[in-house]
Amino acid sequence: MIQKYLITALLIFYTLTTFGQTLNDKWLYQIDKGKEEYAINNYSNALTFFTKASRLIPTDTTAYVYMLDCSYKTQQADVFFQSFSRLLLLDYESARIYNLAIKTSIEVEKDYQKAVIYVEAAKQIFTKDKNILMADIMIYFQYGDYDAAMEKLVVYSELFPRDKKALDLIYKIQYVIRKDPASAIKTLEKAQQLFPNDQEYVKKEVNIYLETGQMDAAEEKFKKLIELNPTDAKHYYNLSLILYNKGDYQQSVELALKAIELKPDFLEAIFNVGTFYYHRALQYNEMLNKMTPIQYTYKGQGRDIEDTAKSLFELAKPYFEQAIKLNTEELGAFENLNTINVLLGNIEQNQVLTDPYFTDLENEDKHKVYPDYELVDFSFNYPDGQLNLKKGQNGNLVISVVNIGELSIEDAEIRLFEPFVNPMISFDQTINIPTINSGDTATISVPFTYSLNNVSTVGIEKAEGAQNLVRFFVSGTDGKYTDLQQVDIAMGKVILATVDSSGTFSETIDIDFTPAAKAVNFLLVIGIDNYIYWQPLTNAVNDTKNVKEVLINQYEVNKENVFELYNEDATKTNIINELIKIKRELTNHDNLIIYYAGHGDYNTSTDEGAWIPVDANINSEDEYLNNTTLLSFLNSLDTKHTFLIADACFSGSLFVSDDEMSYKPNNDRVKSRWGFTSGNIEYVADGEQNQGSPFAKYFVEALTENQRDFIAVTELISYVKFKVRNNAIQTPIGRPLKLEGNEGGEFLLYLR
Amino acid sequence: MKTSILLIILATAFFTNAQTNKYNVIKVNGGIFNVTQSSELSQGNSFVDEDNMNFKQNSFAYVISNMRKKYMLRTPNIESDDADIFSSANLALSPIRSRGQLSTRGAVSETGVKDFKTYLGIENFSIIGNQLEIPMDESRYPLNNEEFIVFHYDIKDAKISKKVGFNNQVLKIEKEKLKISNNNTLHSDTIQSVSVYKYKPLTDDYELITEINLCFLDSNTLKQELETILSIIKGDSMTPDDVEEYLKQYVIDIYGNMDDNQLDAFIGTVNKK
Repeated sequence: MIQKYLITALLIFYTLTTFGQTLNDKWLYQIDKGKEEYAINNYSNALTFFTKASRLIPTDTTAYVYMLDCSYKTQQADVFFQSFSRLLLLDYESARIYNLAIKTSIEVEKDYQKAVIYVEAAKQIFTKDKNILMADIMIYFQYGDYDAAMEKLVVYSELFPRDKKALDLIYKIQYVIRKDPASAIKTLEKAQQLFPNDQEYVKKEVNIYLETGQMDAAEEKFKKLIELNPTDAKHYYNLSLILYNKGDYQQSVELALKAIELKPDFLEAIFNVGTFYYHRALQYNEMLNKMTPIQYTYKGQGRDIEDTAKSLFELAKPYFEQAIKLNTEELGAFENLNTINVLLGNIEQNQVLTDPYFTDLENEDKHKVYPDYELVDFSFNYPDGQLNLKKGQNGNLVISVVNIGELSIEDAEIRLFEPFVNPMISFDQTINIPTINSGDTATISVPFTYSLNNVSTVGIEKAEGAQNLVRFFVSGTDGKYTDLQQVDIAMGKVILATVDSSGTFSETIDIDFTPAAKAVNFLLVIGIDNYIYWQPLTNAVNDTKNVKEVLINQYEVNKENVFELYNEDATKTNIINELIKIKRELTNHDNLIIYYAGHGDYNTSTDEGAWIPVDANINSEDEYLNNTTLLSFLNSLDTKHTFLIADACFSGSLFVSDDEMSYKPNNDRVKSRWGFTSGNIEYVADGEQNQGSPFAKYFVEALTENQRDFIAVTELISYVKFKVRNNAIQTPIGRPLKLEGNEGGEFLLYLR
Repeated sequence: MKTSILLIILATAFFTNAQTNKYNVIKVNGGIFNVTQSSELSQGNSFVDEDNMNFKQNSFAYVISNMRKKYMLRTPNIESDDADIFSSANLALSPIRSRGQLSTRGAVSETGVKDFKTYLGIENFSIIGNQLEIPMDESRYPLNNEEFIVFHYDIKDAKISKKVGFNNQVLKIEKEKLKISNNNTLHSDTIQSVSVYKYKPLTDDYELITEINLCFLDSNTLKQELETILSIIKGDSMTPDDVEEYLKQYVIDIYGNMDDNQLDAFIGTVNKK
């Protein structure tokens, strides 16, 4: 009897155990399938698997946690909140799931009230949790209730005074939204006390000063920036601009020269030093305009001023020449240089034309003997119905000269010059006057042309001030001359509108926008020597580590962005989990490199290759990571560039086509998905122990030996292919992968 | 039987040889001299495979074969430092790959452009003349001072960011305003590597839409090219719609994506049905 009970009990135990194992296996299967779908962004499918798993073991939280993610991604708020309730019932509470609930409330249900309920509940449980408190603030900030957001930010800042995101939000509300520069400055000052070496807050403050015209304060802050970073040429340059505007030319030039010393090809600084001298020269030239003809001649100042202007123009010249050398398309420098040359030529000519006046200065009495001819009237005639001269048009200066003497006057002439030359106005500088009999008046018309733009007239666009003044006098063979007269020629101008206030219209304008931090390079390395069921390899782990080291030490791959799986860690599940981790961190600006060294296999019936995880059994294809699955994972990663390298047998079936590409300049801006394998559909050499595989050896060599700033994927491939083909019986292949994201670009790996 | 097959083969061979490939020149950039014909290659000229050409450095031409296929005639080795390069035409001809269907139409709805990436493409986007106005879908690309489109590119070493002008929901791309920024001026009519962003300055949020080379085409030059093609294909048995389609495909294959409405209107002025 006892035996009978014992047998029954054993049977029950056996049944329960077997049933239990089956349930667990089923659950694991659904979880694994769910994770696979999750990894390739098939959130709907993943949700189905996780839902099934949750029904198999309703008391386990794993499936619900994934269900939260999937339902949030697929915007299924009802499923999300059901899973969320289950987790709460199972006493699973984390700040992360509350954060997701807040996001789902806002983003999916557009229900800010509900978000507030969750945030308040979370605040009770996770008292002073940084992320929850920030989520609370963001609700109000996104909703547009800046007063409430600000109130909460004040409390938050007391708890976490060194939180930069909070400081940034406070600054945004105060300055960008409320247009309250005074409060924003206080915040930025506080931030500078907390982070005395962080230049960003100083820069923000200096921007406020510049935008609100507080130049003295801006000057102080630029000095502070120079203290913080004395080798940044830009700060000297900016400070020099402020001092220039203050009129402190000497210091301004010194600072700009310091900027050039730090950065000899600093085009703007070079241009500006030229411009400082140039503008000073123009100021002197303008003084010539403002002087009366009497001051210009009798007082003897004209020649001195001309000489000063000339020397300043000559100082400016080499800087513009240098600017043009650095940038042949630097039209501003070209215009200024052109103007300088024209003005220097003009000064020379004026000095010749007006020589009689200046030589007579030593003998003023002689000049007081007036000639027998007088300049009695003059006017400038514009085209019909116009008050100015437009580009391409002609006008006339009409001058009347009377002979008050008793004899006829022959060979007299009108001399014309511009104190400040406008090369777009052309006229003859010397006009012969026909014979004038005693008592007669001669009327002479001097034609003027306002030229269309051309290479030789482009310079005047940069000149400032009154530019259209023409002076003239009449001189005869007796060496005498009339008083100097002047006429101002009006030139037509066009004024353009820029921005209206309604916000529905804007011109194309320059803005301060710096996109995209530099792309981050992520690296996943997988190396397996110690296979459980397959024959062990000898070099895979070492090779993988060598590749990792060279990428970290020489190229722009940072340690924190490296994911590694070696030997026993390199199971199929772990590989998928690492890909999921990377996926959460990647942005579409970033790049991903995957390097796999281990066994590969090829299924002739499905015509497909696969990687062999460390724990995969022989002939158990379900346990392999086949190429289709791998490519599906990679398809789901929205990277700029993906570069997959496999040092394994039978990896050749990863590729899309037979197209081999070569390096094209600038091709890195186009998305790419490249693969590089140590062989085609064939066996490849693992290499002698500790010698490395031939493929890895030359792969590392190519990276190490590269002398340029970067190495392009195609160049890397060419190098390794050539070397491997000559040293081993295998055929490495590098081509675009069978992936949708490939847009024909190419990944460039930059040196540090 | 064997004799008849041989005759057919010979006849085919003879026929094939008799069909000399002739090419009509649509556009020449730089200087190419047809040595065989002793004449400078120019728009409207024709040549055959065997003609020898002398290329000035970096010169090229767009040509159409008698089979109406498009080719580029260019120096076989453009990296050569030699001032002049000789080559027979057949060595210097490379077929221009068709870019397929006209692509911007699918990106535009009644309410304007809904998918700016598809509209602009990822390579060259060309504008005929100096400006283009693009109605943008308000739900996808609202245009106001809090949200707008930014072009980010280089002029020499300077990084330039331009808020692209708009009037209500119409985006206005203007050549002159893009080519000048502060003290920098671009002299080429192609702005290389323009990153197109959707940008919200208040929150500093931005989204990269696409990266293109933005080309402004001289309408007179393009008109001459299309008129040259018309004069070549006028003898073909093509319907007016076929002709229009051929011209459109030519422009897209050579110059990249374009606004369909602009291209239609432009072709309408050249090819009056």
